[in-house]
Amino acid sequence: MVYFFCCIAFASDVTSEFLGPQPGANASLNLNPLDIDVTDSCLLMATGLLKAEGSLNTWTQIADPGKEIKLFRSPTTSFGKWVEIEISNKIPQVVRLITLEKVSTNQLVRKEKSCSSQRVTKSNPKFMKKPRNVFTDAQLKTEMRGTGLIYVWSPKMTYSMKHLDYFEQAAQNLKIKFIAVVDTFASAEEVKKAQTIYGIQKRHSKLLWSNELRMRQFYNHYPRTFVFSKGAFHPQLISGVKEKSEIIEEVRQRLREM
Amino acid sequence: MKCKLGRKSFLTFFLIANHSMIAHGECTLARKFVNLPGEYAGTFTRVHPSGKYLIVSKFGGVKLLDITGDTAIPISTPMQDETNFVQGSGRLIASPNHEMRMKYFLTDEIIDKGPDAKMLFDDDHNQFYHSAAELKPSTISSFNFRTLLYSKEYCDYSVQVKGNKATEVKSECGSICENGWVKEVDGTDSTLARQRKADRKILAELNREFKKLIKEKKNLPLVTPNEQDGTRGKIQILHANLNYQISLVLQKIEPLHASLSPGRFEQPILSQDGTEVGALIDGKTKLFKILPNGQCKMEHDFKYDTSKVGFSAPEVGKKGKVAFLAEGRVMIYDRDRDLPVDVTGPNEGFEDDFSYPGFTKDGRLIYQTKMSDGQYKIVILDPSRLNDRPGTCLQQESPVSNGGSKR
Repeated sequence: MVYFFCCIAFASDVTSEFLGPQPGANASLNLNPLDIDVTDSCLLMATGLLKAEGSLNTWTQIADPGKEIKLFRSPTTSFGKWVEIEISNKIPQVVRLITLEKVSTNQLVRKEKSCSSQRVTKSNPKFMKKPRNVFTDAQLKTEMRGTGLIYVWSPKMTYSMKHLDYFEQAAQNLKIKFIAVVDTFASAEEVKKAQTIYGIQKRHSKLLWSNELRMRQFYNHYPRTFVFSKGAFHPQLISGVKEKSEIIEEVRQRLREM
Repeated sequence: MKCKLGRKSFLTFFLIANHSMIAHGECTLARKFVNLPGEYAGTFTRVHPSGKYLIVSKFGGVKLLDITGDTAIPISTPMQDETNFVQGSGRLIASPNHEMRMKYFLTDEIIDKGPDAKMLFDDDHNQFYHSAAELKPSTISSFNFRTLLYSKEYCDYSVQVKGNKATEVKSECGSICENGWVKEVDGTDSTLARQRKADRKILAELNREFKKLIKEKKNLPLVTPNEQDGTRGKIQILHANLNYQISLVLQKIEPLHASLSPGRFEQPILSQDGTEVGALIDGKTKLFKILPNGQCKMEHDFKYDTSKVGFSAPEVGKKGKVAFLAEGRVMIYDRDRDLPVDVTGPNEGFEDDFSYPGFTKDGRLIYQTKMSDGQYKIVILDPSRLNDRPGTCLQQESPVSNGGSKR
């Protein structure tokens, strides 16, 4: 589906609105985490699109799509719904909305002092065919009312299967929840083999069907472990396997920091 | 407000829109495909510098794959877990976790004898996520190499060899990046940056409070056993109160110190000459030069999360390239041109399925992937054609394909 929008967006003092300053943060231009040119004619439109989607403006940089193109991602007020912005030479080019079901891409186009946007909405290619026995964003949200760990493993990464018990025991030691889930794309055959070889229990073998954790980049390495407490994640996941005592200390640290 | 677009502005619109979309997977480099039976496909793959062999780890077992033909041929091995070539000549292989010891094998011994190959030597410098690299070129009779563990501990080995037996093994061990490096607050991860800034402020206040309490304590008269007028008891109470306040401040200082330490160090991997390390620090990939004293100097901060990186072979006068997976894509970052390029080919990466990419000595990049038809392939490509234009090639060519098709 393609939509056309057109608006006039003169350079204006919208920087602080765009930055979405958090309590205590200085909203001056120099602290702009996205380093956007405030005179750009599309700034107002980008701001409006992000605001309309409920962006929390808590930006994490994602791998550059290309030279001089920066990509940032932020959660929104809706669990599992995220926004992205692509910036090239300090100019916003694309604002994207990503949910489990769809990806809406707003291409920003400038002409003199005006800015227009083209929206293309497609199904989210990472969540096309829902398998059985999945762990969803709804389940994640419910589990996150308490304190605990979400451990994502993959049958393609040996240590993530072999040392799942290290993390489970660390959680037991800390008296917090332990939820283990599997890479979204693992096949039933691979999961069964992992259960046989490493004794991984079925309750730890649900396929991850969560846009919330995908946006938090569980997939660049396995295992990856998220620390949560009272509905919020610690911003830093734990990447890889560690010694048990180290896992306990790292989780403790993160819980103190939350 | 909706409005109509004229024909001219419509064309401009699409030209601009298309230009900014070029970067995604558009650098179709000349590539060769080798068929890979699915049972050997795994994310953990290591590339031999010659490009003739891969190490593949799956469900704890390790195969050496001969990829010189149209289809990969597996060679069984006695190695296990995430086994690595010792980078450089690739004549050595380091296999971890053999009863908590690292076993080193000659690659030729594995090729000749498969599962019956005997190790060259073993050592208790062992942990998960090791990487190893020759510090200077090996000879027929000697190896000089470094093995780094995820805990930042390393050993530099000097090994004398006769035939397929080690006659002498010396090692000097230490740790890298122990005192961190020049720390840069990452302004892009605003949550963490704000938190760190606030933590520093709180820590500074606590330190001032701590010094003030210590000063007060020093100024208190010492408790002497001969006081008879009740002063002794009062002084004791003052001491106890101050001690309690100091302990409270220390309790607050300790976790703050931890959070402001040099950073959480994950996914470390040595460069091909063992003098650099790539790692995830507080969730962001960074590259460091390892100085002779083990200290680290930051060379590049990606400011974002990636898989483990793979360094290209060192070239005189060049920084070289690094390759990694990110966002379900194969990326190369050319450090000399500050050029990140998505080199994912047509129909590759079905279900995000890629292995870690690795460079050969002559600069080719090799990785495994699942194609959109469900078949697994080993991809061998030549990144020398990367152009400065985002995501394009110096010379656009159709893929040299014996299995893949254009997306």
